[in-house]
Amino acid sequence: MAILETRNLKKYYGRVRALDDVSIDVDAGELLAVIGPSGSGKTTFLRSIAGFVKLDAGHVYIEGKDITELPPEKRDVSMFFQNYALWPHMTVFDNVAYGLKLRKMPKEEIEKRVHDVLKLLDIEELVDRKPSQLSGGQQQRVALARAIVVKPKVLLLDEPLSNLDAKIRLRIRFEIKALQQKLNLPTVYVTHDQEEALSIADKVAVMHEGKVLQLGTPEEVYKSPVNFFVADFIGTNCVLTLKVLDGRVKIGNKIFEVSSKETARMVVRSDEAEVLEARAEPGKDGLRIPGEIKGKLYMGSKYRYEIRIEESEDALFVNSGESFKIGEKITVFVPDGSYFVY
Amino acid sequence: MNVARITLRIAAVVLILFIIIGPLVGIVLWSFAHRWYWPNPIPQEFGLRYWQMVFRQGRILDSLLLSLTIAVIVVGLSLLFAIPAAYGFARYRIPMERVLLVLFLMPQAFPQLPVFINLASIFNRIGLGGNMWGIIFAHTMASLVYSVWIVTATFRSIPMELEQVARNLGASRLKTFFTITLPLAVPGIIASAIFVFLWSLGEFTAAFFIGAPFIQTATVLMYTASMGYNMQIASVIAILLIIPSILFMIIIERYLKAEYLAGMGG
Amino acid sequence: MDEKEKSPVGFLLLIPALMVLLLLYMYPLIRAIALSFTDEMGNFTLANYNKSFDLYARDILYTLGITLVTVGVTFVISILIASYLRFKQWKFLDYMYRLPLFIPFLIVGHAMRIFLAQHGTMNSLLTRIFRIEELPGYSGLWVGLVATFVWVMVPFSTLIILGAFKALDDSYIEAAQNLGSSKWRIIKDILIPLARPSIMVAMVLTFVRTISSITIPLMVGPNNPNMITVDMMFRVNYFSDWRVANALGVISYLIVMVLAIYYLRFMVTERGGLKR
Ligand SMILES: Nc1ncnc2c1ncn2[C@@H]1O[C@H](COP(=O)(O)OP(=O)(O)OP(=O)(O)O)[C@@H](O)[C@H]1O
Ligand SMILES: [Mg+2]
Repeated sequence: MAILETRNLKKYYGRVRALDDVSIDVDAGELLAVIGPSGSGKTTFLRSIAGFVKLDAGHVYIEGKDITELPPEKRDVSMFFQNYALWPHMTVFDNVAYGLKLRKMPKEEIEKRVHDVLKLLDIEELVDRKPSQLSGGQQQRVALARAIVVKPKVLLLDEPLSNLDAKIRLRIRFEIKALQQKLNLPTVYVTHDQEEALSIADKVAVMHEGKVLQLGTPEEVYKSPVNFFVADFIGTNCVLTLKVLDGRVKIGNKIFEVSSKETARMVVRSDEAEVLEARAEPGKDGLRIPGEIKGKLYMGSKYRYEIRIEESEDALFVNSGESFKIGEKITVFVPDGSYFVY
Repeated sequence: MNVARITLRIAAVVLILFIIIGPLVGIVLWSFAHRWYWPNPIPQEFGLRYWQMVFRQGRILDSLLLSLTIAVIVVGLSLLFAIPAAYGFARYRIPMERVLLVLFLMPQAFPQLPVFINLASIFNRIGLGGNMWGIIFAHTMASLVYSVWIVTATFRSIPMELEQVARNLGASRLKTFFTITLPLAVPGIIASAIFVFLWSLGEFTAAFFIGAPFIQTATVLMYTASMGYNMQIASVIAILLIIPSILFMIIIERYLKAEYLAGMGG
Repeated sequence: MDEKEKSPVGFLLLIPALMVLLLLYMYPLIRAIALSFTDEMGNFTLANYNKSFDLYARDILYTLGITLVTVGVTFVISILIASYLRFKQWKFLDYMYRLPLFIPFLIVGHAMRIFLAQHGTMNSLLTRIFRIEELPGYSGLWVGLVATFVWVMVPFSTLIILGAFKALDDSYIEAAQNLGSSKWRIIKDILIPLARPSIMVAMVLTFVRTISSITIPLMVGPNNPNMITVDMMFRVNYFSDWRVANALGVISYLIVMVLAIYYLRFMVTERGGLKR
């Protein structure tokens, strides 16, 4: 049974639809990543589960119990705040112990639990410091400790890594995943970094303008995006605008039936496309588009080519390890499953 | 909203009105009361007699005019001293800057009565006792707090680049001050003028010790009337003095910064 | 040239204002201190202080008591209003609490005399509503005095405290709420500790403004005991005794000074320095 269920959540700010009929479930131990561009409603979704947003319609259930009308302090879901929100007047210990004190736990028990969670996160030595004496990464861990020490039913993380620099992000990303699995904690993880989402999530929800466009495993969302927006939002892509003739689009060696009238759009996963010599025959099935090198950018281990093709005004950008000259005729090869036409 | 919450809200509104407006309503009622004996909740006889009296009787009108004159001159003097000082604080490195700023705060941060009592006796000796200018000087001194602090903060909030551009284009320091800095500081200067004006208008202690009994400002007259149980006259003057306070409070809401208000109300 | 300029011009600009302060503030102040320590012949003496304590020891304690009670009540009410307005929007309360901000103390004194007197407007309303024959009056009693002080102090101290509360990021409050904290706990655990410097400022200023007020005790205070400001006034007006009046003045200065030092020490230890 799903621990967290949201049903038809709606929240309008004037004419802005921050949440437009959102229904998502999170099972025991599952990590749901919510991604979408800025303003798509991700934070609103989290805050409505935590009770900080008063919904216009819809219901939130935890373990089958309707908590829609409960005030935030009675919900037993822990939220991790993007800016950490560590109370500056309390030490690390006091910050982490706060939720336990509210639960009227005996002193020894509190000390034990705080100690355990700090150990789990490898920050025991910080216990007596004030938040102002911590680095960003340490603050992040303390905030996480404070959220999980109360053993919440659901953990809500709002862009937990966005205030950290790129290097430690990658590491902490997997630490969070490991921790979440260890605690078997149903988690909603909001991020606008699609790579981060795909790499740690059991389930991904792609949001846009308050709607959930697609909900599925990372593979499903990546391999079979339901529409142009999802296809384009996930992965590193180039988009080609193509002319439609009689309901069909012709590009390279393929012809697609499309529903759009005048132009269609093709999303190409740039990472998976290859640049081949004009006459080369790839051993695999896929899309082959003849083109000409227009530009070339050296990027260390690879070149980034700007390629002009006949079928579209838009240039294709493809990375390749091999060297071609500007003006050279080549073939772009995109394996099946790495391009989408809408 | 359910019934209980609406009831609670109404009760709260009534309580707040009772506490805040209640005392003020009393003055308004008294100002129109010809006859008012216990236990009537409102006066037995209403009328404008005392309002007319205030505006007809030379003595009362004079003291209102005196208070206004003093307040206006105090605003002028206070700004005259404060604007250069504030510019100095904002734009120059001053030795012991913080100590000096605190010094300007002192007249409002410590009890004023001892200073005013002694100022009165000094003024008496040099012929400024019972004189409008004695009160004006005392008020100018005490109100430097508002003008210096507010105008300093205003000057500080003006980016120095705006002045540097003018200097760069060939304006002298003085020219820059009058064409760039001062115009940009007008809102803050007006705010401080309002604070000083209100403070001077409502000030009692200095006016009483320095001026009375030879000249009576509106507050001193009101005090005498109230102590003599001449409630109607006292109330009319009180209302006349409250009106600018409330009007200005609404106007300068933006400038309601705690530091400036330390001695408000006197 | 982003630095402030280092030039004697800056100091020159201060001179006129400084002269005003020195002549009209410092000189009378020093005179007050000097007079309080001398007799008619100009010789040093402590007689004025002995006399002050003989005559007014009770009044000094009374003044301290009234002031401390005022500070306490003002603290509670200001925290309540500021917390309410931090959590919820209520334009009505927001305007109402500030309304008395600029009303001169003297006028408040007059209004409260009318309002709180035994046959005053408050009682004539209350006796009507609750159909009671008689209610006690409060003007001329310490309760009335404290009530009046609180009435004029709350707007100002609430303004400061609310400002500090509003400056705190929502997430501090929400994080506590998220962990299960009630509104009361948030006030106690988060808002008050985080806003402590500003609350201290508000309370220190409330203290100073109360202890130095003369108009309010004059208008609504009891005749005996009196606040020391009123004693000073009587000393001067009825006895022309400037020396004892000044001794009382110096005593009130010292009380404020003790508080000021305590406050500065707090600021230095709590925040590692003064504001700006
Ligand atoms: N309190 C509010 N008042 C008015 N509009 C709001 C409020 N909160 C959010 N919105 C609007 O609702 C929409 C969704 O906001 P939300 O913060 O949920 O986006 P988000 O997906 O978290 O964006 P980001 O990636 O920038 O954090 C936005 O258009 C935002 O402007
Ligand atoms: Mg967000």
